[in-house]
Amino acid sequence: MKKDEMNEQIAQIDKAMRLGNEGLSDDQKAYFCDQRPERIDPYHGILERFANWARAESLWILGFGTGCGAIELRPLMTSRYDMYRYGIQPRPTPRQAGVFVIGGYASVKTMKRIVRSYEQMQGPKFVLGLGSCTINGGMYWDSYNTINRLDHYIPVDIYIAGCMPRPEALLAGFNRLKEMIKAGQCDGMNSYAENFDWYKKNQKQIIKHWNMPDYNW
Amino acid sequence: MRTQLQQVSTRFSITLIDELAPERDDLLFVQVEKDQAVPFLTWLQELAGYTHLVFFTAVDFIEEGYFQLTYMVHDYSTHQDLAVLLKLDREDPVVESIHHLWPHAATYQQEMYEMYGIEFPGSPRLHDDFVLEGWDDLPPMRRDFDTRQYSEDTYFPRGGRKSRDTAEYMKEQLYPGEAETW
Amino acid sequence: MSIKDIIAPFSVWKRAFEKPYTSKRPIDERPGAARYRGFHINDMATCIGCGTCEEICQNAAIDMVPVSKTKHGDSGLRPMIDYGRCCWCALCVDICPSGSLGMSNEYIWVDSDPEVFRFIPGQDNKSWNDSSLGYRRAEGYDLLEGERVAMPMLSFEESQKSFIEMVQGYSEEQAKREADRCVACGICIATCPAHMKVPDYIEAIREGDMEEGLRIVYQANPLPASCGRVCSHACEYVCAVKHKGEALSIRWLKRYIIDQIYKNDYQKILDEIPEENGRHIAVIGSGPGGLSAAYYLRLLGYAVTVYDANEKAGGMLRYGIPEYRLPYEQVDKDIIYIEGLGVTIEQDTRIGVDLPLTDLYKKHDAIFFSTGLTDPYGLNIAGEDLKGVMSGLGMLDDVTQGKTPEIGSSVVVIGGGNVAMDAARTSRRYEADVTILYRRREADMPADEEEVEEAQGEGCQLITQAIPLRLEKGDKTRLRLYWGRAEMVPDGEGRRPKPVLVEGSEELIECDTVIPAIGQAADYSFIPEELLSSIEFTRGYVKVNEFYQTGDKKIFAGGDIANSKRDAISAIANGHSAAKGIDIYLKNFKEEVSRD
Repeated sequence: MKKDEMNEQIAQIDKAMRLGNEGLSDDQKAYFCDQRPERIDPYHGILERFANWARAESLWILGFGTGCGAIELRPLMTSRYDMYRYGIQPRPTPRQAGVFVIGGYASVKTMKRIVRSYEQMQGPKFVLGLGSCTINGGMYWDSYNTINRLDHYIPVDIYIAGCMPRPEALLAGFNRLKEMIKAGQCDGMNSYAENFDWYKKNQKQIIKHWNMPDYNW
Repeated sequence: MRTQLQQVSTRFSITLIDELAPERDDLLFVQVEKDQAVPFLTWLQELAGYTHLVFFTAVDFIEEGYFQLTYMVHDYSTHQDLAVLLKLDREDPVVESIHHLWPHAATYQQEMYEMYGIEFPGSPRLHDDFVLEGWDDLPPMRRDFDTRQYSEDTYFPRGGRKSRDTAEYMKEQLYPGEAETW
Repeated sequence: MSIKDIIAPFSVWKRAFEKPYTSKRPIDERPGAARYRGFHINDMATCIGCGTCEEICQNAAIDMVPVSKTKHGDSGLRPMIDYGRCCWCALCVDICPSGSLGMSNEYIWVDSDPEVFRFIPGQDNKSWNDSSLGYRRAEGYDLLEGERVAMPMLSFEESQKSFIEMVQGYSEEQAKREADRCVACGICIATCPAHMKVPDYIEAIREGDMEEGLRIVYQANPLPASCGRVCSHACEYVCAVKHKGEALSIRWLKRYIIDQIYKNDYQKILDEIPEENGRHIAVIGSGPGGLSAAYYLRLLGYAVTVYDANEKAGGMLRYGIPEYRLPYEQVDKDIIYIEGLGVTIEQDTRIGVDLPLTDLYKKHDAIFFSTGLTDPYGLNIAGEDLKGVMSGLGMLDDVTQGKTPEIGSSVVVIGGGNVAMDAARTSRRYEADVTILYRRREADMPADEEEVEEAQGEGCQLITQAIPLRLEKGDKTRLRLYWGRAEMVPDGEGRRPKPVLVEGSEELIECDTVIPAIGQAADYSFIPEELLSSIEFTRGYVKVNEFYQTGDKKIFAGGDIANSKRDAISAIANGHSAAKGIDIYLKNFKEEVSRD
């Protein structure tokens, strides 16, 4: 999606749709943050390079198997593939994790949880789209309940083609992600903050029962 | 079992359908009328030994204009399965609930309400969201719901795709001026 | 519990400082198994762009996109696969009729841009393009049926005894089974000179809807009963299924539709014919070209009169093709329907003899002529005028008229076209021993493959690379034919090799009759001088524009005299195009003519 195209779409969004937390009852609203996410600029020079190296060498994945592809994460934990040697390990909660692996198709119901989990994850955070479904719907392309392209709802840093990709392909994906992080190319979090309205518009378009807060760190 | 069913066939106005599972002798199909379904199932559960509801589902026969409900019940003592079929008018999809016989039927009914729009008055949590949250279109398992169209309208299929029909393309390339095209 | 038991668990901490085995000895690359279903490959030269892969894909992952130039039997489209859809089920590989599509054993493709996952296998530069490993369709595992449903035919022993039609036609069950083999790609539509909608009428057969089938057939071909039997079926040579085995028998399926419908029911099924619009068109020649033009002109509302020199209509369909291939009642079936629409056919009227062309020219709004090739070429060898030499066409003509040709007991037919085969097989039916001489190789023979095969099956002896030298009067037999061996000499790039006589070779056949059937030329003697001057000719053909209009604006031409394919279906296509051409011309460019 081009920048100006995005801006055009944002311009169309009703002002009232912005961060009203309107899905929540009044007594619930107090519990949730309604502050928009903000852009966080990188450090400069060696400091940023060091930070990126540290981020790249400690990819902690959110242990949330969103689709059938999650099954391919299991072999990575075994001694055969041993993902721990790359500093990759699963974490049980979003707040501890830095990498979100979307394991294939995402139904609307799951999408709601994905959005919520993603927003809870601490920055810098990275998203890895696993399999065809995240690119253009895959074999669920004509399903009434499954999204077609993930990048309309949360920023995606890297895609791995396959249905499902083998663990080796997954490892290749992680390694590429590492390189990109080290090169400072993974800026999904900032792009989410900058195009927040556009992402929210898309999310609300499919998640019709919007009973969750608009933003929640 | 067959004889037992034949004995009550007039009482519950049921019909045995033999052609559906001819190769299995532990499975029988029975057609039942709408108003007799629950009395018949009650009788099955309480007197005939069919204590277990295996599943409860619906099929949309749109051409014939009805939903076919299937209650599959099982008798543990004889290991006999019995499928009770019920034709339900598509225009008026309301049928008596069976959650008082088998509590877990409520979940099946909740799902059927969501996927087919079949009403089971009195069934607990019937109108709560089940799989679909905030669904506002036709129930998606109804066959008049166009899932492909819905997906294309809703989920932004990725652009950049364009296909050509072989015959049309060859016509364009090879004989745009000949008789057939005028 | 000893102290050792307490310490033991902590001793594993020393492992914390060791490099993990998987880092020490990593397996960096794991190629997929030999038959792994990885990323797609496509042999661009073999692929014909039929789109069967697109059709079978359950995920709508395949688009057909223009890549190469559209050629005979190749749409020029190639599959583009969207890896945002593909699930690597390999159905496309399994069904691919040409066998071009396959899968490599590569499986790693990582990118940060989601738009790059669409690619054209074989065209786009990918590392796996030349992979020899990976999934290919397994031998013996076919989703398409490669074998034709066998056509019930008379045995050669039976067929050579009489003129009974040899091909007996499909039954309903056979026709449906054959129709089921079609992949509906539509490459045949482009190849058919008349562009008949083949997949559509095959679909009609599958549905069992013969009336719809007839309607589809008549859209582009008003002589289906004849065409269903003797068409040169260019379609079958490019059939996508032919890449897998045998082509669909498209011709016989068309015939099946026609055979199911009684001729008197045509009028009920086909379109209403419009009222005559007051304009008259003359058609000269009642062969396929003429009849086709007459039919479509009538359909466009014109009054049509067909002038024909023979006793019965049909042209070469009747007089050039023997009855065992095309029974006369089938020709009649087509013609009766066309006549029933109000087309007048004037038989025994030879233009230029019985009626001058200038008369027609004055009386009609336009003239279409499709007089065909009627003058057989001579052999140009000594002794050609001896008794016992007769042209192939002349002999077939005689047979149609009910005369028994005087061929004696041994016949030599010279030529390799369909007329030669017809003459040879007709001679067999008069119990003559038949030898066919052809100057090139068997593969070069212009006759249909099955014609050659059947001729040989019926006992005709085929001698190829044989050039007739001279004819002499024989003593035991009527004639002695001397012929020499030919060798094939390459004749430049893109041309077929040329037969050249081997010096000094000479052989002899004694026979009663020699039938040259080496082609025919057109006869334009009926065109008077004043009209002839405005009509252009190139190498014996009438030169026409895209509307099949000749140099004279009122005169249109088609059929064998105007196209190089010289078969019935091309003539039919010409007739159709000319009818539309005449319509366009009369509606747009011409003032109402005053008729006196």
